[in-house]
Amino acid sequence: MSEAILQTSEQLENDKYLVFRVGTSYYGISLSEIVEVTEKLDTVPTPNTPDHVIGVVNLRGEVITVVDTRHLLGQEKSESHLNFVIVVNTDKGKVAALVDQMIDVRQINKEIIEESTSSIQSEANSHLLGIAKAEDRLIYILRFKDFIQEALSRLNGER
Amino acid sequence: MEFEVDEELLDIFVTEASDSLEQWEAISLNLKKNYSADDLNKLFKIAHSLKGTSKSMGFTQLGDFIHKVEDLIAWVIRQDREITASESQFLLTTHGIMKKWLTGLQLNGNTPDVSEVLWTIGEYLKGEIENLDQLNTSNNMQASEAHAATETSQRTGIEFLKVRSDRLDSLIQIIGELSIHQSIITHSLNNNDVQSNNFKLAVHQAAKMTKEIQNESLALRMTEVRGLFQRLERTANDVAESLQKFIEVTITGADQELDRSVVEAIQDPLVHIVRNLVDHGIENEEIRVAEGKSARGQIQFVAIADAGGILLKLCDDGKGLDSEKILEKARQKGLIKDGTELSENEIHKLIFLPEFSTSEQVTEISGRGIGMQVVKDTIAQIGGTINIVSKKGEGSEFHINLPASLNMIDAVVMELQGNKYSIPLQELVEIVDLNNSKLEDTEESHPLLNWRGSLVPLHYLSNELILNQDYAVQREEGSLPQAAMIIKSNDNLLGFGVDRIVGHQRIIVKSINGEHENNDTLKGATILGDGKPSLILSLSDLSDRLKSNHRMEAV
Repeated sequence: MSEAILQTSEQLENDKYLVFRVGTSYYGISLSEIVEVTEKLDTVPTPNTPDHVIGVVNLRGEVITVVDTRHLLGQEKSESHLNFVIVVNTDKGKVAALVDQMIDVRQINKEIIEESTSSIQSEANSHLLGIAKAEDRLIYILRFKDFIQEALSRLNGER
Repeated sequence: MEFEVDEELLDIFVTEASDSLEQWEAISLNLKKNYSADDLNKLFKIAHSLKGTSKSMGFTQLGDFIHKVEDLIAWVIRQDREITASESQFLLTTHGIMKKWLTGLQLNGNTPDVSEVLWTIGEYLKGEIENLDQLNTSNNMQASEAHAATETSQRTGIEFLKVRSDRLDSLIQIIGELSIHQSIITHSLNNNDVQSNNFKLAVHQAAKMTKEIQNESLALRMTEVRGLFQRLERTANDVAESLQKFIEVTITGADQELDRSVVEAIQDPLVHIVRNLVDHGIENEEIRVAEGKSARGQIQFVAIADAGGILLKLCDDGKGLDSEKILEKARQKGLIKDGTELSENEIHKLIFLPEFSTSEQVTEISGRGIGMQVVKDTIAQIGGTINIVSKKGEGSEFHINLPASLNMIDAVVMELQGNKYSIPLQELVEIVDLNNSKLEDTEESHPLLNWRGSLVPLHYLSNELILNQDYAVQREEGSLPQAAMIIKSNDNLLGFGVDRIVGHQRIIVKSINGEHENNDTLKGATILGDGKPSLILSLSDLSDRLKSNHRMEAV
């Protein structure tokens, strides 16, 4: 009995997603993956790093790397549109991802997430859990931490 | 493991036992040099208490083993005689075995099998065997391995730090004072009294205390080089023992202090150097006597405070480096071209090139894995440098310059395309005001700077750093760098032009989260007074990269 209750509450937690916009597309990531969300911070560019790494920021005394999700998701590059930061914990510590706009936090039932079938979103495809249909739009559900982590590991190779 | 033990209890046991073992090692080393009944008694006491705690933790086998060692010591004390060489070496061997045991307990519960040791001691006490040399040789190598293994295990488990109590007290006192000033500040703010002298004084004092807290808390991480030297002495002893060489180790400046992380990082490289000193440096007794040297090889470990850091010297009075042999080898391997003239010092530096080993046969002692190149790289990684001074027939000296602390460095903050970057002061030879200097154009992409009579190539730093252009403030067209930072890299001078020098500052080095470890130009970051991060750049690394790029272009 108690086991069943536990399971449900865990499921509920898992079903909460932060929805944000990058370029023309909407993405959802599980709340459990997120450390915090803030407005854009002052960024200092890093030398000799690939294009998707913008630089570093001071997050309350910690210096963390900032990546450009527009670039990673194959969207048109535009600094002025990136206004929010999502901080995730990776194996290499915290990393900040710049995104365009926060939409909301919503519950998305696992059942309505459809597994992706096509080759859309090639960059992120391997980390795409599925696509959820909301009222008027599609939300790409990402395994964000894995996605960011892989982008970072490419940081060493490309230089 | 004999039975399940609470993990926290185990950690405490291992930490305490490790401390006892460290004392054990120091005393045994001492005992080997000069016999004193006092030292032997101290060892007896350590053994006794170790036995007690091991048994109370339920490690009966370990307890039994220590008990046997205790018996041996008691037996020597009872006879009222000096300890024999083989016995004192055995006390060091014991240290190795116990250390291995502790590591085993902490890692996986695999403990060494000591039945043979126990049996041999038993026979020895009965007078059936003449000495303990057999045990020493069979367990000697294990001991050094145990050393290496403990280092790794300490990095993974919970680490306990020993801190000098007076430092902790003074830290607590400063924090107490700080909170008084803080309450004055809050009070003045609440009463809208920010113009009062009290308020200004309190702000000023609070700033001063914060700085003091910073210094004091960093000092908590400092540790004497004594422990490091002890380990090196042990290595020298073990190597000499296994090669049947006779050495004497002298230690100077053991009370100099280094950051724990620096000590941790350089431990393995230094052990490698010491192995080399004893193995390749020190000659056999007959040769030494024939050459008029003392019969025992003299090994020296010295620590000296030097320019904001520590200079370590590891010296021997042995053969010294054989320049001709090194040259010959370098030619064979195609490392240098025929006809190149090299100074004595330059030749010695060749041994830091990859895969360079002058020993004709690779011995078991020094031929293991890491070469001098790895030693050099590891030391460079933490911002240190290594140099050799050697004279054939008179010995070699390794000079290692180290920063005292990794966390705080003196740096010059400068501006580049609207962003502030920091350069470690250690790297700079001089900063030159370009408004008052002469530049000479060349056919190459960069001009030459006339600096104190010599011509120094001047690169504009932003051109060499590939910054993410979208996010950098664009420099106004035609504006020129205002200042140049002169560095010396591999005996060549090089200048880097920057937009503006902001100032000289002591900064706290922070690591950057995210994978930047392969980017050697980035040495970390700091946070400046305005709250913005500032990257710490290594210009010497950059210049190495420039050089290899130019070489590529030339090909």
